[in-house]
Amino acid sequence: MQWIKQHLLSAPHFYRLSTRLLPWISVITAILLIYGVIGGLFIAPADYQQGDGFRIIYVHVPSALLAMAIYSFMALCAVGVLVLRLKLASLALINSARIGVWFTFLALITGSLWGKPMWGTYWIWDARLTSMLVLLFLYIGIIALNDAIAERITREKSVALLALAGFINIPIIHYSVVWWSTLHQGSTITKLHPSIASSMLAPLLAMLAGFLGLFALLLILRMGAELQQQVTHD
Amino acid sequence: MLKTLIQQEVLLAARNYSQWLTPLGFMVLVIMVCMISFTNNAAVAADILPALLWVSILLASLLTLPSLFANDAEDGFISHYVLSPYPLLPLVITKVFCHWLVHVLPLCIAAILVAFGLGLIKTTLLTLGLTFLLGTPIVSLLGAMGASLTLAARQSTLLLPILLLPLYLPVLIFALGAIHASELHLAIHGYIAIIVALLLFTSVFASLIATISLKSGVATCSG
Repeated sequence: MQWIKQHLLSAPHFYRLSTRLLPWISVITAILLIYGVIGGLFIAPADYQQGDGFRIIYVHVPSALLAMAIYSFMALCAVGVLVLRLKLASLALINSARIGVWFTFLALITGSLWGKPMWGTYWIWDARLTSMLVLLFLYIGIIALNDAIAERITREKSVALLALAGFINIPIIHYSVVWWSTLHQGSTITKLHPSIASSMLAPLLAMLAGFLGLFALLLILRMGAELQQQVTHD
Repeated sequence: MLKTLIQQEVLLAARNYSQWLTPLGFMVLVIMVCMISFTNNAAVAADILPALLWVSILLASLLTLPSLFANDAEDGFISHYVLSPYPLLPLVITKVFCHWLVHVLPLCIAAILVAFGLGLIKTTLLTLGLTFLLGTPIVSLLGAMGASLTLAARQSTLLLPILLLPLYLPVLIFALGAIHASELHLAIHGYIAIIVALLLFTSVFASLIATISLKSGVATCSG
């Protein structure tokens, strides 16, 4: 553990490793996103019920899953900050929040645009929608708290504690469609036998992986920029 | 020790009555503004009254939070307490209890009086009181968590609503669920049980987070 902490998770090592990985991640992400967009928007057949309207799934589902995955990653980082006192973890936490808030926003907007033709309403106080909105405010709260505290160590700890406190929302979002049977449909792909045709599923998974790559890319760029800034300030 | 603390907080509140009277006035004003804007639609006004009372308590309690730990942090009481051999968690829980007693309980009593005055029927009134009794300690607990996290922040008055109102949602939803059920003469046990579960959960985790946060704040100030 000590070895990992000193070598793998130290700032200079992270910077060296990430700049070396950056081109690979960019290329793979670009390929996945291009395949996902073409496969999803042009190749995949239209839905028997929703027609071409279902194609918004290729943005909605990946961004919603990412919104939750990024928050879970932030909770993990929070443990890294509070228990292991990793300097890199708090950097990853706040920069993930700044990216995750946009994925959450995108999931809500695309969901709302999808809701109008299919459900007949842009918004309803359904359990899944409400808990996603709470997630958006958690992200905003974490960013606002981070920007309001000047002292570094207090800031990092407060932000980590808030991120941990908000983590309780993630299982609520995930199980909201199971616990409350309201308007939002149940899970389609995050189960053992996906209830979606494979010609529709493949681009979706590519988009998901592409969004994940995009997140990694943005995170590495942001963290790298901040590390460089810290070096020039010191 | 903790008993002295409670006595002291109550005495302070009694001497410095503007600190709990101002939020109370704010709450009554929120209710008044909303009720007046619904005067043309008496049925709607009667329907939303319990929800409005709950929301106005949540809003008014936000005003009381910035001062929850700020005075004790400023005069060094919390630093001394952390350095003393006493554990910090009982202090935090006592502070939360005092906050509830001095700030939130007057709001609840005033809200119930308003509900009585505006003619809420008796069974609904009883359920409202029960949800206040079990639900508002959650507001104080989460509020203490928010207050300790924003202790070092600039403009904590602006931050607290953003941090706390989303976290207040579960208790609000289940409290209003209970009230709605009692209006329909249905059983409210399920809702009350969930509120109690939320209360137990927050009394462990929110007070723990507040304790860790206060401790880390002191550690960075002294080191």
